[in-house]
Amino acid sequence: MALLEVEGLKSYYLTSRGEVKAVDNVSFDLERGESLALAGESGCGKSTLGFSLINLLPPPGRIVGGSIRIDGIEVVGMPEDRLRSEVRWRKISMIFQGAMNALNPVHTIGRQLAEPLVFHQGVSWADAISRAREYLELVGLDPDIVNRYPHELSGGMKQRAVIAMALLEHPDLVIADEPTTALDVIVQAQILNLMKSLKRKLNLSIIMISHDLAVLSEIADRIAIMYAGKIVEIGPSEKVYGNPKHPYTQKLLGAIPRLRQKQERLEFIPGAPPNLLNPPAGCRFHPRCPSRFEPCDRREPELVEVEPGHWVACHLYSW
Amino acid sequence: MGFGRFIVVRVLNALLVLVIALLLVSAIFSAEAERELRGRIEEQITNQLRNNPQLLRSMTQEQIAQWKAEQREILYRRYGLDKPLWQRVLIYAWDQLRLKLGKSTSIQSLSGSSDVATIILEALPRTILLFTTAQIITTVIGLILGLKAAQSAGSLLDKSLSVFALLTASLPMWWTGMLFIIIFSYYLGWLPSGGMISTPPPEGSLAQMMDIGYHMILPVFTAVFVSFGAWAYTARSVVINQFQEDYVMAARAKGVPERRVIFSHVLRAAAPPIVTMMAFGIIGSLGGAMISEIVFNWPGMGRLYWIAIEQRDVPVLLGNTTISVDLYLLVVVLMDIIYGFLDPRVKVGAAAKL
Repeated sequence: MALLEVEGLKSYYLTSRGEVKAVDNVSFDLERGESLALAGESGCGKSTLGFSLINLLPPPGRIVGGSIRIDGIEVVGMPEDRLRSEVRWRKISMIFQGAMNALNPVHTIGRQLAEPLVFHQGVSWADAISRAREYLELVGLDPDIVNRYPHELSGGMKQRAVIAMALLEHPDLVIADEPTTALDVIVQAQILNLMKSLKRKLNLSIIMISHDLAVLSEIADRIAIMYAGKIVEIGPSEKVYGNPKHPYTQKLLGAIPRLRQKQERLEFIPGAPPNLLNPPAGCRFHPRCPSRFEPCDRREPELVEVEPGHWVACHLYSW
Repeated sequence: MGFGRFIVVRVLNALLVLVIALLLVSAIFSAEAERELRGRIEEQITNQLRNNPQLLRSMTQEQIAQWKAEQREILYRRYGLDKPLWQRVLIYAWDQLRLKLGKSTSIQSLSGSSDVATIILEALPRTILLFTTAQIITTVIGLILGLKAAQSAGSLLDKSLSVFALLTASLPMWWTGMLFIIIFSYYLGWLPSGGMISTPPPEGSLAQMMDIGYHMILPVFTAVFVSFGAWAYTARSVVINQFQEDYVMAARAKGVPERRVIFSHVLRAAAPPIVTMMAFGIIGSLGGAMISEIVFNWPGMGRLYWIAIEQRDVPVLLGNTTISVDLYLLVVVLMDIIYGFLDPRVKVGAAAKL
């Protein structure tokens, strides 16, 4: 049994103008110790997917269908107090986007790290703080910063502290939502290396959400490409990154500047991502797709396995 | 330590403001005070003469004029009127700074004293009792309502709160007070229309306290009525902003109980702006809402100020202003200190700015 099984997940934002289908019928599995990258443009639903996994969508977002099983436990439809005491942080924790704001400015680092331990496991504050010190050391920080306030740390230090916070309760799965976005390149590399080594050391499962494919290919065993609320391609990193099958993935990779190879001009994808209130019929990418043909605007493509473990949702491979 | 220095600088700053304010006020009032004083001196001399008919009869007109001039000179010297104006302004300001508030010219305290300090110390607790009580009730109701509205943003409660806030905040308190007096006092006859205590006062201190409480109901209700909506609305915006912060989301993701998320993360981080609002509310209330105190015939600082203006009682005006400025600056400095403890970023930022 896989550690995480997501099946037919639908997360919608129920607004006054209609349903925004931010995650629409998404399925995937994740094994223990495996890392999966979720990539796509802004607004493709990757962060919504991340928050759905701990069933904590900001209103008016809601999971309207499908199933999420972590370690065999169904998360969808679970009452709030059980989610709080059994799932959040104990099974699945999160490393937040923009670590700058994930720490409350008025509390010390130690207090914020220790908080979930105190409430979940009933340990004393003193014990919880000493555990926080251990984990701060694990992520390469001076354990004495338990007494410091967030504004006294640099961006990289804060990001490390946020990582330590996510690991404190030995979760099975860590969701990292753009963990390196607001950091400069050198710190970015340090954080990525840290995450790689932690993954090895602690046999962590990681879901890493980012729009930066170069960063993702560094750390992920598998990559899932999302477009307009759906997974359009999923497979081993080197296959998806090295030999992309879906026209969208190809375009996305073409849009990355490369230093080594000579590039005539940076490619871009004409048009804009569709409005998720009312997505196009058939394949959602078809209005922007260079290789669209007859069935694309009528029928929605299913994910098909084009080579072992490499799945693509495109009529080019299934028609 | 940076924060200690910050506080010292803030205190010195407040003292500087105090000195400037007192100099200005003394300069403004000294001309009026002197005109008043000269008038009183003339009166005193005339009285002296009138009370001493023998002296009056023994002197010619010229001698009388000369005697008057001599007396005038003696008294001018005694009251410092022979010194140049700027020196007299400095003397006034220095007296105010030392809280040597002097004697009133016509207003008397309840006990018959014309000592300005006594008069003010009589009025100040009454204002504190009335408006600070109202401010505390407003704060508590406002915070609870604001929090509820923020938690259910867009709900009926939230929407009606914003309409109510807009409506009540635009009603002047004295006007609402008059309206309530008409309704609750004249038509319904439930509550007294004004004053602080019945005449004659009831026997026994408990009965007196109850009586004062009874007289407080209408003004406190009025003050709370016109201000708690706006308070709740502001608290709502502050809390809603907090709810959208990543660290609140993070606290929820950590599986922390919602009550703790609200108290330890949302309200704790929202404390600085809320405390600021509260502090300014209390400062505002200490000065006493002049018109409202007159409407309710409440013998506090605001009404005292008004009477002092009407009766041209300059020492009371000056003393009242001085005490108000003192209290204002005291609260501001206290707030700076509290702020440093509520928001650790202030300490560093403050130290960096020095």
